[in-house]
Amino acid sequence: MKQRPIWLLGILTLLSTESLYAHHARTPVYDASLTVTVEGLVTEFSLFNPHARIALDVTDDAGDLVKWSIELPGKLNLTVGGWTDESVVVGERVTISGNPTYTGSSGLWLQHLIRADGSELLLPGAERANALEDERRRRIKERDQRN
Amino acid sequence: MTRTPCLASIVIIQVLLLCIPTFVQAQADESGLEGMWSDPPHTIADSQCSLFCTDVSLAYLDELLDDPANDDRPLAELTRAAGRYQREQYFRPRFTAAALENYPRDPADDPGFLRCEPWGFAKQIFSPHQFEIRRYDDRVEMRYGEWEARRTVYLDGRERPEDQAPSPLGWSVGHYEGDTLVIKTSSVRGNLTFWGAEHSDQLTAVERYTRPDDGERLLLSVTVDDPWSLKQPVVLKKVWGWAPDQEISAYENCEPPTEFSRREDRP
Repeated sequence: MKQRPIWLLGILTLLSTESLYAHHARTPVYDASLTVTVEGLVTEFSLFNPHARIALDVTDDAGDLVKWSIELPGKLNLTVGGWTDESVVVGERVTISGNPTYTGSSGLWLQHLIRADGSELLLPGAERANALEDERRRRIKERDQRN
Repeated sequence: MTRTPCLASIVIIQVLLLCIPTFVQAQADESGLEGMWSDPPHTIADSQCSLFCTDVSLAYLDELLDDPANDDRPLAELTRAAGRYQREQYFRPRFTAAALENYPRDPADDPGFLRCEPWGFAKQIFSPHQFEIRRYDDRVEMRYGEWEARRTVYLDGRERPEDQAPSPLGWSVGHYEGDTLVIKTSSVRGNLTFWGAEHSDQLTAVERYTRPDDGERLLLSVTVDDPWSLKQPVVLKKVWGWAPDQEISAYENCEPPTEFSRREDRP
C-alpha cells in the first residue's frame, strides 16, 4: 500500500467556522495553528455525538502501518450538512488534513477530506463560510459604490 | 318540552369538549415559537450570534467590515477580533474581582470536557444546533441537541419546592407577553458560562424569545445577573434558524479525553 508522506505544515488555517462551532473543548487537544495531511484507507466511520470519528490506516515514510484517529464535529452538526452513516465508506481511500494533537499522537481534528476521485466531502460550515464571503463581497461593492 | 333543552345542553357540552384540543392547539400556534430550530441563517450578523453575541460585538464587527483597510483580512480574523473586543470592552469591565481571578477559564477545566458532565444553564441555553420548543397548557418543554438536554418552563406560576437544591438548569417559570415568551430562571448551580467566567448559584436570568416577521429566525435576548461574578447584568443575544426537518439525535458517545494540554503548556 503506497502512501504519501505526512506533511507537517505550520500554517494558520482557521476556518471561519472555527469561531462559530468551537463549543466543545477541543482546543486542549488539537493545535489549531498547525495542519497535518495524511492519506490512507478508512477502517471505520462512527457518526456519533458529541463527535464523529474516522479510523484510518496510514503507511508512514518507513513503510510502517500507523493507525490514525480523525475526530469530526458530532452527528447533530454533520447531519445539518447532509452527512449520513454512509458519507464515509470503510475501505475507501481518502486524504485528510486537520489539526494535530499537542502530544504528537496519531490524531487529527478534521478540516478537509478529499476522496480518491479528487472531490471534497465538505463540512457543514463550508457552505456557510461561502455565503458569508459572498455577503462580504456585496457589502464591499455597495460601500465602494456609495463612496 | 323538558327533554329538548337537556339534549341541546348535552350537544353544546360535547361540541365544547371537542373544541378544547383545538383551542389549546390554536393557543399554542399563536406565538409561532413552537417547533424545531437550529443553526441561524447564513448571514454575517446571524452567524456572529450563532452561540451568543452582544450589541457591542455586532457594532464592532460592522465597524471592521466598513473599514476598507480590512478588506483583505479574512472574515474569520474579523469575527475573532470582534469577539476579543467584546471580551475586553463588554465582559471584563462587568466582572467582579472574584470572577476575574480565574478569567478566562481554561477550556481544559470544563467538566463537560474532562468528565462528560452535561452543561449547566449558562452554556446550555446558548448551545448551537437543534433546539425544539413545545408548548403545553401548563408548561413549555425545551429540548436541545447538545447533550440531548431537556428543560421545563412552568407557565402556571408554581414556585420552586423549598427543599429543592440548585440544579444545573435551574428552576424556570414563564409567561407570554403577546408573542414573546418570557422566562425567569433561578436556583442554578454554580458552573461555567460561555463567556469564559464562572458563575455562582445566585445567578438569575430573564430570557425573551421572539420570532420576527420573516418567520425564519428565533431570537433570544437574555439578561443575566449574578452578584458574585457580575458588577452589573449582561445582556446577550442569540439567533436560531427555522429547521422543521431536523431531528435531535442520541448523545451517548461522550468519552473523557485521554490526552490534552493545559493552556500554560501550549506553545
